[in-house]
Amino acid sequence: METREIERSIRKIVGAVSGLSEHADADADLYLDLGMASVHALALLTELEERFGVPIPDDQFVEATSIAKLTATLSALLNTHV
Amino acid sequence: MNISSGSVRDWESAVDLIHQSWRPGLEATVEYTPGLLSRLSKYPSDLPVLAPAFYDDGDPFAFVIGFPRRVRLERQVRKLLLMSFFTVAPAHRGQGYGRSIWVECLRQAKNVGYDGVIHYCVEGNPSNQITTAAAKSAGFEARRVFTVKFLMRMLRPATDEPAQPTPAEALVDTCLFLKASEGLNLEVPLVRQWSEAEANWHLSSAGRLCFSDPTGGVLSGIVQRSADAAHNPCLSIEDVLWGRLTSEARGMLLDCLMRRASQVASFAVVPMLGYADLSPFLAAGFRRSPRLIHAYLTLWDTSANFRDFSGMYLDIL
Repeated sequence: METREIERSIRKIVGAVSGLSEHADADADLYLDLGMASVHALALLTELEERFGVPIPDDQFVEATSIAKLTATLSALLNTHV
Repeated sequence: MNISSGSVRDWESAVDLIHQSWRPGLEATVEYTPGLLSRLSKYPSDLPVLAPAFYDDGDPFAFVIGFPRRVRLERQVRKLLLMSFFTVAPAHRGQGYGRSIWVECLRQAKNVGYDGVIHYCVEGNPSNQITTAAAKSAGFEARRVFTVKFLMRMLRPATDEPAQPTPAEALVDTCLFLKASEGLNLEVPLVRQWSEAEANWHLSSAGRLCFSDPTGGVLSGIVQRSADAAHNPCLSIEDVLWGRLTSEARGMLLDCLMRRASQVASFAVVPMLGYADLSPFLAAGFRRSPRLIHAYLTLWDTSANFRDFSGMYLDIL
């Protein structure tokens, strides 16, 4: 899957679970800058794993606090998962 | 502007100010209500709750509230003020009121007989800098002693139905609770101490869920509405007192709590405070949350050099 497609999917999921704009700055911190609630983080993690079909280790998820970082994390996981 | 100082006079205006000033879901994780603050202010202790405030034309615009706690700190019992609800109205920020109200609370705490204060700040929030600078300006050091991570788990799908406060379900008697808390590892550097009155107060909180094992393990938490827009009910697990339970028995006790919680809450949270084994939570599907909170300890006795606790048993307010 292409990086751009991964990012687009992540943006949709972020918007769906948290109500944040799908057009948020990719480098903005989802929690500190955009104010995502921690309960939404849990929903985001579950949705991402379901959508991409890969388990995301907790430690990697909590470090991936922006759309750009999530995209990089998922790209790497998908590459190693193939 | 007609600035005056005093103490928080009514919890309703304090909660209004919190709602105006805190970002829901990040700084506020549960929905604070006047009833909750009122109940917290009635904590059974011989030391007072402190709530210094600044007013502008009679309306509060800055305050902090401190609650009495007794802890065993490196094997000595100390009286700490748990400072929380640090609030400055957006229009009054950047003018030094936050620092002033913090210093005033430290001064009052020292005068009435506390040994020091403890407080928490959300990672990335300016309060980390404001409170440590305020302590320094008062001649003390607010030392970061622990960073709290959290585990979370969904319990049931979110609903539009707001959570109803449930009566306390203290299926555990106070004696058993006290015994379980006394059994905490002596190596834990900071451990909350309970009097019978404090334990009774704790176990009788509205929304309290508490389960025990016949051999003495206790799990307890409280169901409250979360601060996010949906106000989903959340179980915050506060006491993980395994006692001598086997790994299997721990899982079974947690399962009891989760089954009951899933009837009244949408998700559960447990802080990783390092005083108890949390592997049963991981086995039960709990995942790491990105939320981080730092704990700071300020003691008047500046020669005490506490840093980097391996664990602590104390509530997070």
